[in-house]
Amino acid sequence: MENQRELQLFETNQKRSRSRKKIRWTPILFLLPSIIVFFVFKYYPIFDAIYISLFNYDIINPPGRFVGFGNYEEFLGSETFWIAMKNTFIFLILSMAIVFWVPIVQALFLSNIRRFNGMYRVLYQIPSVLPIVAGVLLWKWMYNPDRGLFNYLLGKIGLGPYGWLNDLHMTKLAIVLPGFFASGGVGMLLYYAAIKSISSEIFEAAKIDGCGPWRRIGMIILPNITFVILIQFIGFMSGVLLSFDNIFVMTQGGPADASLVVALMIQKTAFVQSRFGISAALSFFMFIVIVILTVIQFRLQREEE
Amino acid sequence: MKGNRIVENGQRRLTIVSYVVTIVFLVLGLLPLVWLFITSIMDNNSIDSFTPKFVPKVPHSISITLDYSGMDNNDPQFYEKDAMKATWFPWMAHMKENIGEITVTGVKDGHELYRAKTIAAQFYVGQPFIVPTQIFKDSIMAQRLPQIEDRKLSEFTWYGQGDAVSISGGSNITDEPLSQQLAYFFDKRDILDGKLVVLQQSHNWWRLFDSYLSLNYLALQSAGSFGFYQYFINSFIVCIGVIAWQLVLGGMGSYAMSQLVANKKIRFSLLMYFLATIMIPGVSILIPQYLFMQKLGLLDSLWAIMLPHFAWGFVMFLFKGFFDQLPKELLQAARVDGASEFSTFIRIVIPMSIPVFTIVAVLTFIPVWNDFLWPYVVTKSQHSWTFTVALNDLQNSKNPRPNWISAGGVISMIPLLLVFIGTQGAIEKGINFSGIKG
Repeated sequence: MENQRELQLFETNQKRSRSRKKIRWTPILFLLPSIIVFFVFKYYPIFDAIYISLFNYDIINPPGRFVGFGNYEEFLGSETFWIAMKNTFIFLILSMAIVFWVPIVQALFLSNIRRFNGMYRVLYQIPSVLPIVAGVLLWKWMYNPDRGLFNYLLGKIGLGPYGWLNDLHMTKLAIVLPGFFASGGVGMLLYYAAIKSISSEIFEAAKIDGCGPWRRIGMIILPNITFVILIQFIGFMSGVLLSFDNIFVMTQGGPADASLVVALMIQKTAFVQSRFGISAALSFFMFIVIVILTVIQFRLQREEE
Repeated sequence: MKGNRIVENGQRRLTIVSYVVTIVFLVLGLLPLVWLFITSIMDNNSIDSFTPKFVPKVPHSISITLDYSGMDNNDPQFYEKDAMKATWFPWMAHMKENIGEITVTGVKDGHELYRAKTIAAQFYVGQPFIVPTQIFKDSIMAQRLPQIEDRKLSEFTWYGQGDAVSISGGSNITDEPLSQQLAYFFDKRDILDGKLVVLQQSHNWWRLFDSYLSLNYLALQSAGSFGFYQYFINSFIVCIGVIAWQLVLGGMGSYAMSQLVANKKIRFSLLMYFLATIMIPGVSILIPQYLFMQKLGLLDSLWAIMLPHFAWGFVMFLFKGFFDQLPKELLQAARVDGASEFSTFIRIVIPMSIPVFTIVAVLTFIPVWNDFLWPYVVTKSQHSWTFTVALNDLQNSKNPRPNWISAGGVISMIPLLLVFIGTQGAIEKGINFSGIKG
């Protein structure tokens, strides 16, 4: 009681003091560095990207000649852009087929294991701990048509030899495949947490109604984690759309643009061809796509809450 | 009913299937890592072979003694050149033989004159420019000697008049094929000034790990005295800088947003200001950021790699989610006691928020450590490369050795492995209270 009275007293005191000096400096001081940094490294650059995209940008004599939406027209009319879009779409399909479902299955079965569960969870993290660049270089070595592990092992069972990264039709598959092996990671933990947070009452009720352990997976667990899967799926999509590191290190977009994606085009047009205007236009295009995906993700999240 | 637990129909089968599936996935995930480690210690000959080898062979250690008795020359340079000829030429001629180290001992009038040791790590780094061809001439070595000294590609110790050694007569050449071949090579080529008296052969397990040592010699001139390891140090510095900023100033900002801003509207717009940046992908602001760094004159420095990582909406969101749940009474109590906002933050908020600080540190460390595109774009000279850029460059170099790249890969995953195993609990907790993936 006394505490509460004291608190009330304090609050009235504070209100009085607040009205006396209008500006409280502490929160401003605390927030200022973050506000500045976010402005300088996020907001300013994205507006700058829009600005640059309207020019035939000249790096020595910026900003160069104003071209309006010319840059957008140029990339929308170019064949390479549509090849990159098509490749991105195929990457998306392949990643869904090969990578996306893996952590869900892992978490589903892991939730049935009681013994050493913590140990399995740690072990699942290990493959995803290898940095992407190092992982890609390892796989590139295994894909080597002459000396690689894959052609050797497949040769033992009478398959191949395959060209892997040199083969126009196999490159995309070869780039996506490592994801299957290293897909555990944080995503798996997320699904696992979601499964574990389903209330046990639902399970008990299902048990009493005669719903067996296998049917419970389809009837109870999956419907209950659909939301998490959906949210993860949208994040996964933007991840695939933005993927650069693995493709660049693996093939640099080759052979013959077979693995070229928009993110790679942005880097190439800017730093290889020095066409900053077009690159900025592509950047803005990517931004819009990601904004749409993120807005959908946020909407869904709020609906659930 | 048996016991106090009812075993359902199908439960047993589900459990068995669960174990099988889990173990299969674990093995599939870990196999590439096993292969990574095996290739990192694989000898150079097996790496080059057309059929992959799974068991690395322990390399041969060769020890050679040269006798200079009766020679007038007292110039150490002369003897060093001779030792280098005795090391680099036969090694180059027998590169397929899996040699791990060659030690040359010079002896003069019963006393040790010098000792020179070269290991595989040094030889394979130096071979492309020290002995690029099969031409073995005294003049070539005279030309290359400064380079060997410069890049520390052989250890050479000069004794002058060292410990007494006795060389027994008769044949001192080991009876193994490689030793015989080497002796024949010296005999036929006649390139040495000293007289070959002993040639012995043994095994040294440590030479299996020479690819890790190679990294030390690889970029010695371009990156600094740590060689390739400089790149890992650079990555580490960048990570530490970013984590420090996020924990201190990111934490303070989110705390102020969550607890010190009374006006709801301002608080909401601040949250949106930070959170909306999640939608801006790194690749979309690549060019403006690059041009901006150019304007600041920061291109090609660690600052340029570090700075953009200071603005992470996700971190502000994580922090705020935690700070919102702090008990208000406690903070009020501190203020009643007359503590300033700053000391309330230091003395009360930080000790209560260790979990969220851990999660932010880990979730910051992983992407910054892995970051490739931004450091690749923003750095030109090798002294400011991060290891991801350096590894990518290594594969594009003229003579990429898979065992070097694999050794780099193994080292690059060690910090993350330690972090993950050490903070698994914290990460799982963080997933529970953040609700979204990092």
